[in-house]
Formats: sequence, C-alpha cells, structure tokens
Amino acid sequence: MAKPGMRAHAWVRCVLFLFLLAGIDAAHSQATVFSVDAVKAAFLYRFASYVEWPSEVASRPLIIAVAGAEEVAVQLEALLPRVTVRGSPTEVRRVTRVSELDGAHILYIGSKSLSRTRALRTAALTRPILIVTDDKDGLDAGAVINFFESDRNLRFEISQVAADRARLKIDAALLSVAARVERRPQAPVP
Amino acid sequence: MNRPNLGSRAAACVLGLGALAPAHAQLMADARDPITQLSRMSLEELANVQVTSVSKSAQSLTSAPASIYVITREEILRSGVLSIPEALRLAPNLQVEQINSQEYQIGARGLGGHLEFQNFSNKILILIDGRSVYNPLFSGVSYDALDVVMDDVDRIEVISGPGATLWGANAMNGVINIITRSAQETQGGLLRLGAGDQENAASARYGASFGDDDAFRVYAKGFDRGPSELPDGESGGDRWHKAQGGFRVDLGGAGDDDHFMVSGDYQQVTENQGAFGDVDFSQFDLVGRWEHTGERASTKLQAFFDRTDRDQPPAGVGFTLDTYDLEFQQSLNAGARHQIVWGLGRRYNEYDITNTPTLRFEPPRRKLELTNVFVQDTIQLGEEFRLTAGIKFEENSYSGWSTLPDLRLSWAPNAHTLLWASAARAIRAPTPFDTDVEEWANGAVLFIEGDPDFQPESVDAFEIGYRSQPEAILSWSVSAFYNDYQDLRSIEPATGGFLPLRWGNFIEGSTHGIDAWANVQITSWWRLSPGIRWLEKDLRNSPGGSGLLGIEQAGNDPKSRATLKSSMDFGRWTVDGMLRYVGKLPSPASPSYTELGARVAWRASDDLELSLNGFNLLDERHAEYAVPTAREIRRSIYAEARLTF
Repeated sequence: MAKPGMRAHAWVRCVLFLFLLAGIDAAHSQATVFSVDAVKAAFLYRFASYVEWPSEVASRPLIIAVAGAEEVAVQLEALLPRVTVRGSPTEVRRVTRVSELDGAHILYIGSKSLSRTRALRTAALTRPILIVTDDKDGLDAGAVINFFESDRNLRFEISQVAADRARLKIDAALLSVAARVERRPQAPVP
Repeated sequence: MNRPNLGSRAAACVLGLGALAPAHAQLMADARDPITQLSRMSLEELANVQVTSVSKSAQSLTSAPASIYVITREEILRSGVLSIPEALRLAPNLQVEQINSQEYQIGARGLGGHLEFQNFSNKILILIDGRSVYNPLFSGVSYDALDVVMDDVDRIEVISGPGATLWGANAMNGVINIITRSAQETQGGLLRLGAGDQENAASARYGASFGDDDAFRVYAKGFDRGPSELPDGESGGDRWHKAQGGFRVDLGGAGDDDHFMVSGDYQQVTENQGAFGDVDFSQFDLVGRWEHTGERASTKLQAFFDRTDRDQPPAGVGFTLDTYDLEFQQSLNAGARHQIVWGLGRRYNEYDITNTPTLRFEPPRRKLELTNVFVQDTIQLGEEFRLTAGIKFEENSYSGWSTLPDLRLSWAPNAHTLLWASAARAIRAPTPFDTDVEEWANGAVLFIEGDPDFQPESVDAFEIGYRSQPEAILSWSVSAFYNDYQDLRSIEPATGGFLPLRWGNFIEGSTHGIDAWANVQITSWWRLSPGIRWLEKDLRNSPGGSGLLGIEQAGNDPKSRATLKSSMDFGRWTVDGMLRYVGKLPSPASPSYTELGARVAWRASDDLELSLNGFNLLDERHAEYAVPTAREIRRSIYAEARLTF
C-alpha cells in the first residue's frame, strides 16, 4: 500500500493546480464556442448571397441539398425558416439520388461522404450547382468550395475553375474571406 | 488506512469547480440561441468563430429518458486509454475496479460483485455492435476478451439503471453499448504504435470503398501487457499478450433503404497465471445484420455466432462455449403520436466444460435457450410530454418465463431541458454456476453445490432524472434512483446439516443513490467535466435465510466515486487529464484512493500525432480491490505514434 501521507499531498497539489488554472482562466478573454455543424449551416446559407446563378435557375426559391450530413441538415432546418436570401425563402433537402438534385442550387456533401456520393457528384458537375465539400480532396473532386478546420476555426477554400465550369459567379467579397483560392490558369500573353 | 476526509475533500473539489464553472459560462455566452447568433454573422465573423465537434451522437440522446452517459470517440482517443475497461472509467455513472493486470470488476448502481464469495459483476450487460458479450456460464463479462480497435469505436453508450425491456435479462443495473463506426467511416489507413513501461502495443487498420456506397475495413492489433505488482513491488505474475484481427463490410449508403453489415473478429490470448503457468484462450465471432428503412416502418434482422475456447485457469475450469443468436426488430410509426417498437429474439448457448477434481459442473455439457418477445410504445402527449411503455417476456432454460416491464415519462419544456421518471423491473437470470456447480474441498468433500431451483435475482427500479443544456457550452445531468431487490443470491447450509453449502435466494433490500455529471466548455480551449456517483445500500437477509456470510456477499461497492476530466487545446498541442477518487470498499476493506491519468499530444502534421500518456500517476502502486487474487496497479507511462494515411 502507498503511504497515505504521500497520496494526500499529491491530491492537494492537484486541486491547487486546478484552481490555479481556473484563476488564470478568469483573467483570460472569452470566446463563445459553436458546434461545427451549426457554423457549416450558417456558412452554407451565407454563401448564397455571394454567388450568382445562371438565369435559368436564379429566379427559383433557393434549395440547399445535403448529402451524408444529417447533423448539418438538422442545423439548416433550424436556421433557414428564420432567414431569407435576396428576399426569397430557402429550403433544405436531404438527397441521395440523382433525381433529387433537380432545382438544387447548393449541394453540400458531408465529411466522410465524398467517396460514397460519386453518382451525385458526377451529376451535379454537369449542372449549375454550387458543390460544397468537407474533405481534403474536395476541390480535386470538383467542389467549388471546400471546408476545413484550422486551429479551432472553420475555414474554406474556393476553386474558381470549378465555379466557371458550373457557370457560377463568385463575388470578390467571398473570395477575400477564403483561406485559399484556386484561380483560373492565366492566359499566356500573346 | 481509511481517510474519510479525503472523500469530502474530493466532493468539495468537484462541487467547487462546478460552482465556479457556471459563473464563467454566464459571462461568456451572451446570446441564448446559437443558431440566431450565427445567422446574423457576416462571412468574416463566421470564419473567426471557435468551433467544436464534441459529442455529435450525444445530442440525439438528450431525448432519452434514462441515465445515459455517452463516451465519445474523441474522449476515448484523447484519454489515451488502451483497453475497453479503462475507457469505461470515463463514464461517471460506472464503478470500475481493476483486480489485476487481466481482470476487472465493473458495476453500475452497486452490487458490482464480490469476488471472494464468487459473486461476479453479473448485473451489467455489455454489447459490441449488438452482440452480447455476457458469459452465460458464470454470469458476468470476461473483460480480458473485450477488445476493439479504439479508433474504430464511434461511441460507448453507458446506461445506468435497468434496460431489460429492450435488452433482456442481466441488463439489471446497467447496459453498456459499444458501437463501432461503419466501414464507410473508417476508410484509409491507420497505424498506432506505442511503447511504455507497462505495455507495448500496435494496431493497424485499412478501409476502402467499393461500388458506389459500399465499404470494408480490416484490422489487426496486438499487445504485450505487463504484470500487476505485489505490495512489495514484486511481479504479480500476470503478464499477458493478445493478437486480434477482424473485418467489417457495410453495404448501402446514407440514403439507401437497405443496409447490410457483416463483421468478424478473432483473438488469441496467452495469460500468465503465476506459478500455474500460461493459460490460453481464443474467441471468434461473426455478426450479420440487415436493416431496411421504409416509409412507416424500419426493420432490423441480426444474427451472430460467437465461440470462446478457454484453457483451465488456476481456480476455475476450461470450457468451450458457442452462442447462436437471432434477433428481429421493427419500429413503426403508428399514427402521428405513437411510435411502436417490437421484436423477437432467440439465443442458443452450447457449452462443454472440462471439470476438475475441485470444481465440477453437473452436467458438464448442456444447451441453453433464451427466447424473448417485446413491444414498446412511445406516445407523444401534447407538445412536451412523452410516455414510453414497454414489456418483454423472456424465457430461459432454468427459470422459465419472466415478465420485464418498463414505464417512462418525460417532459421536455424546451429543446434544452428534459425531466424524466421511470419504473422498471429487471432480472439476472440463473446460470450453470448458480444451478449445476459442485465445489469439492481437496477433491473429496462436497463443499458447495448449485441450487437446481435457483430463482432469478430481480429488481424493481425507480428513477428520476433531469438533464439540461442551458448554454451551448454547458450541459449537465443528474439522476436519482431507488432499487428494490428480491431474491439476491446467498449461500445457505444444507438442510438439516451444514455441508454441502448451497446457493439460495435469501438476500433482499434496497439501494439508493445519485449519478451526476456536467460538461463545461470554460474557454474555447478548455473543457472541464466533473462527475459524481453516490450509493447507499440497505440490504438484509430474507426470512428463511441463514445469514451465513452476511449481506456483504451481495457486492463490495464503494459508496462514492468522483471524477474530474480536463481537456485543453493549444493549437497543435492537446493536454488531457482525468482525476478519479474512489471511496473505500467495505468488505473486504480496501482504502479509498485518488489517481490521475494524463496525456499530452502533439499533432506533428495532419497525418501524424505523437503522444505521451501517463496512467495512475499519483502513486507508485495502488490497490483497487482486496481479494487474495488481487494485485496492485503500478504507475505507468506510454508513448505512442498515431499515423493515418
């Protein structure tokens, strides 16, 4: 058996250490922490204000399609009824089949779901849909915007090449907030 | 050796920090509703908010009217624990005592077992992906056979309190559901290599997808775990090593109506048993599951096979045990207000015990059957109230049919608060060890024999609980229980004589207590999670009982347990720790103790993490349970590299 005295000492030291930490913390400036899924939902809604869709789909109510990200879909359901994009209501739609993409403006593919949604992605690539992913291979897979976490912030990168292919115009303000922009290859000077 | 003041100090520490934390929380969370707050933010503001991906799965459980603690994958990985029993220490509603390097006693709400009187931790049911690992021979769980790749665990749901209506017999004081990730969620390679003064271990997993939505994974792991120690620091003679491998295939994607899952595991273990030498065991399982999601009904069909083959240990018998299990379950939306779940199940156990001169089972070979049917209706009463009423009828080979009802009422005045109350009945079913056993002293005198009429141990459990997440950064849960036990196992003298002793059902009485815990995100980089567990027992010998061996045999449980978990992030560095205080055990007496586990990890790149882990740091060695086979647990350190590719 260990000596009781020693054990008590260690315990007291531990408690003191915790209180010390709590004291340091009180002096520290505070920041609220949000669930990463709620922040993703807020971004998805916010992106819509900075993207211009081709005229054939621009006039319809904004539809955010979500594949393989139930938590984000739940957050969008809570968020979208409270907001409008350019004066129009918006809605979230959980999608699994290609036919369900009809009318969608944004397709969000959850992290870990990239490889499982090949058929959806292939179909979305041929349409004016803002594909948003959450995977380090997202832009390579054809996404226009890709989320990643960096030092407890949620950041995103943009591919202008993918935006051009989808015939989407990305506002410069959105590009300026992106952590990284994959730009169009510069045309060689003639 | 007993220091009651330590207990009150531990409680004061936890309560003190608990009181401190909400004050912090009030200061920082200026808006009540995170979604509203986020919807008003600009792009720049969104890019700068602090995010956390804590306990996604825990969210959906806030509506469950039970005392549920969810050990998340993040919590498991960040604690650095190397085994499931050690991971279970993270649940504030469990009691975990390590007996030696190979054995544990684990309970919830008391009656966790009394090894000296051959009462095992038999009132808690553990399932891995729906496969019960409860051993029906001696009732209890072989914790040395409970193993998975820690990275592949999605979560461990720990329910303290009865769960017999859904899970059946032996889900008496608690249910532990270990849920691994689907093959789709474990793609790519993983390699973990670690070395320390107590353990060397390696695990590797590779997963890939095929077709549109289908995926598989294969894994292998192994360890060499050092011995516990005797009080003088000599080896406890219980070094052991394990090699385990397995696979899982999942067919069907998130949006498909049908999902198929097949998984299998095999392990081969060698355990040193001191002077007795090495003892081997192997275990194999195969699980198949089909799930269909329809418009109004979801259907699940699951089958599993499990084979365990154990050599004879020093004080026991060797055996082969096969389990075949088939379960069907359907969930129906019946009208707007009713959700009905019903199901059927059947299990066969076939065993072959190798008797020894001192420990015999008569008969040594037998087939056991377990049949059940259950139905449960969850009724929405208005916007805020929900009533869940369920009943299970279960038949086992020894005691026939049991009726296991469960009634729960919950009130959710808003999305962040849940008040619930429940009443339920659960049993611990008889086993060959209760009915067929013969223990011979010196191989000549029959000392103890089983009771062919042994009755199930039963409990009527009453609970009330409150759970709340008033802020995004603060959640807490408290539940109180009163358990009324009947027919607990006792030992009785032979009619008209003394020997052979015989098992009986002559202990009854009640227990009551509290489980409580909280999660506080104190700053963006620091989370604290205090937890306490309190237990009072009021047991007695029933009329007709001899009182031989007293009521202590029902369980050697600590009255109190308190834990404080701390989790800090500093960019690429994380610092985690868990302090645990466990009150004294009454009989055989073990002093209370306080121990600390800590881990510092550095993410060298997106794919590589290096960590230094320390276990039981406060003492050179400490004892958690005082029986002759018990040993002391030494302080240990472990360094690990975790690589993903």
